[in-house]
Amino acid sequence: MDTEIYKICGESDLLPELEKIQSDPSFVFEPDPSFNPITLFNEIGDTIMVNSWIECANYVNGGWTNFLIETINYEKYLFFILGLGSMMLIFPEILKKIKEKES
Amino acid sequence: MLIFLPWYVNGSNGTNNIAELSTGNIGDFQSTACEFSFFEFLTKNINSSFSLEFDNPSSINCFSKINSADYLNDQNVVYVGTNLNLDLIIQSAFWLLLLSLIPKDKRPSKLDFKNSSILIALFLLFLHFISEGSFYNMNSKNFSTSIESNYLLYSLLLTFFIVLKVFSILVETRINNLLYFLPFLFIVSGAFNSSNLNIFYICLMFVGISVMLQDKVYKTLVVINLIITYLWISYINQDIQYFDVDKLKGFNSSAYNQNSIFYWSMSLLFVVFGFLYICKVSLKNIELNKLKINFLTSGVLVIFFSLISAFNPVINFFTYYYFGLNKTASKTFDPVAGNAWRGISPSAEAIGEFFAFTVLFTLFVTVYKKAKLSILEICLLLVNLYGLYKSNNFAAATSMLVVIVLFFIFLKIQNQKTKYTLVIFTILFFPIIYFSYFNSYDFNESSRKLIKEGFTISNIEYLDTNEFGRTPIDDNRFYEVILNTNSKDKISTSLNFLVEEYHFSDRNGIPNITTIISSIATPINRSEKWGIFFGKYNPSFETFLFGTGSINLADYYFGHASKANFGLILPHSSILSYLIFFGVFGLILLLVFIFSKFYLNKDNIYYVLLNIYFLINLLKSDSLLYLNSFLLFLLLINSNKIFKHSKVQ
Repeated sequence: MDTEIYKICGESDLLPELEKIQSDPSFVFEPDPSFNPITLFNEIGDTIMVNSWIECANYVNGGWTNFLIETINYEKYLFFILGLGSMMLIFPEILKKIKEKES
Repeated sequence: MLIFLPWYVNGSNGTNNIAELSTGNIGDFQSTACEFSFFEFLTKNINSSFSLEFDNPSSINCFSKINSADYLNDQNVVYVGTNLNLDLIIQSAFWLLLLSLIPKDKRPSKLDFKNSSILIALFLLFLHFISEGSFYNMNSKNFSTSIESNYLLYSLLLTFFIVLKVFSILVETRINNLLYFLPFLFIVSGAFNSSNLNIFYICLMFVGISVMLQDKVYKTLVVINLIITYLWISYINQDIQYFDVDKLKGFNSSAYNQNSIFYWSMSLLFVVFGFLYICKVSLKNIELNKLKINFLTSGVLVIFFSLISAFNPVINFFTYYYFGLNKTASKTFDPVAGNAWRGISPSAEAIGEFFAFTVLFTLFVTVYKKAKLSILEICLLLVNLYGLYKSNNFAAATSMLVVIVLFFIFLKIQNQKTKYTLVIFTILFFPIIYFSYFNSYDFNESSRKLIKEGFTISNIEYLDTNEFGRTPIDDNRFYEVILNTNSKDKISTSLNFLVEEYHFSDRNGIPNITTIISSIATPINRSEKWGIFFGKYNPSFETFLFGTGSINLADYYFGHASKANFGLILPHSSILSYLIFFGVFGLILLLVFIFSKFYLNKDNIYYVLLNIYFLINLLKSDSLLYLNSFLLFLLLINSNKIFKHSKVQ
């Protein structure tokens, strides 16, 4: 069993056949009341709440993790750069108007 | 720097070596997507054989990088990443730089309400982005119409804020000189690579808004336009999310919904206001010789860049990107469909009209100024004539010749009787020659060809055949098709009307409207195109009267199912396009306006003849669907101010 599964989902004596579960579209995960629900994330930022150890193991085996994978948001950087550029265009105008009012 | 730096900086920093492209190692380029810059690729592959394609939806990180390669149609195709936001920034910066090269005028014209105008323009652009979401989803992986934490959308708006702010600083001191550079719009079209926008359209929109805020008449026109826009919005039966604007990019809506109708109708009105204002302030002092030289130079540059773009794929890539072409330049010297070469222009017809207009304008200005053409001007003129020859625009060349002959008749012949005899003879000469030697259809066949072409693209496969395998269409029994119970909703309302007019006419001859249109269409090679138009054009009574909205073809295109709903098939007549946009009511208003201008300037032979030349060509071409030709048309309508002292009695 992948150590990553134990790391994220916790220890368990279960030895599920995860490949079999993955290939069975009608498999239904039964919630385990004794399992503390965990939120998992995939690489594009989707989230899922898992309610049993087997469900957790299945998703971790499929590449999900318990932390948000931070991809660089270039749009955000660009937005701030453009915002700064806009400010540089506006400020001289505002200063000029203030000076005109003062005089 | 603006041309080369964007394609150089985002490289692999020499950590890996890019391979030389060959058919055998295409897979290497697929597995190293987004690793090597375009510049790195060129350093290794400058002598390789390949064609370049844009990968528009790239992320910012993959901009200007080689994003994949394929072997398609016996050719290696390399994909270069481009990004919606970076395209806007880089292309705008380049075009603003070009605008800054326009000489300043000593008498600046002040624009008021600049900041308010920018805000209104940004609001309209915001509507544009959210209304054409499907177009932008195809051009950007991250595009979303949500307004919450949508940094891409905010960045796009901020980009336009900066662009308009810089433009507003540049324009005031240059506004009197802008018209001299109108001919260069046939080289630098200004359409953005990955958005359905055009920089010159947006800048004119800004000027128009600013002018509107100062002028009561314009404000009234805006209110009237708002009422008409409300009507257009109320006519929407179903939203159309995506229409492939293809070569109309930047000057046609890619969607049909209330926001897109609002954006395009309001923005077009502001563009017209803006351009008319520029004409108003600059035409009174315009130097015709300078404008003439710029038309001639522009024509020569169109040919020059067309030739070098066809010669090399890298130059083709750069001309498309930095000139903001609506369509990549022709990649070969071969004509399109065996008859016309368009070069860097999206349309061979439109550029042919431009070349012929340049020749006409040069001649008119030379005569008007009582000057002689210099050796240089003659050389430039010859190159423009070569462009006209390559574009193979027979209608433009013929109408140019007719107008030149008419011009000299009006100018040189004093005797009224002789003058008008010669005018009638000239007008009839070319049609008679054409009908006598080139037209292969008899009158009866010409009069119904339009209907047959309309039926060809209609979904009417259910028609029964007789014992000889012939359908009612083959036997010219068109009304039978209409009466067929299956035909309901399969035949467009306009084709239905034409068939009824044809069928119930006494002799199926003039003045039957179907016969008139069809008989005009056949000899000018428009029966197929106009037949397709009527096969598709399916207006309700209201949309026939008032249209479906400014520069929006989506409803015409998808509103009625036919066999011609794929690929961009244009009406091939600006008059028919405007019938779609503004309906018969709008078209009549427009024609009344144009003819009233003709009447008021009837003694101004320069004005009348130049406009007649343009109007004849608009009948059979889509030129008004391109921004540069549209602006040239607006200039011509106002050219009475240019040739104001030219009264010829």
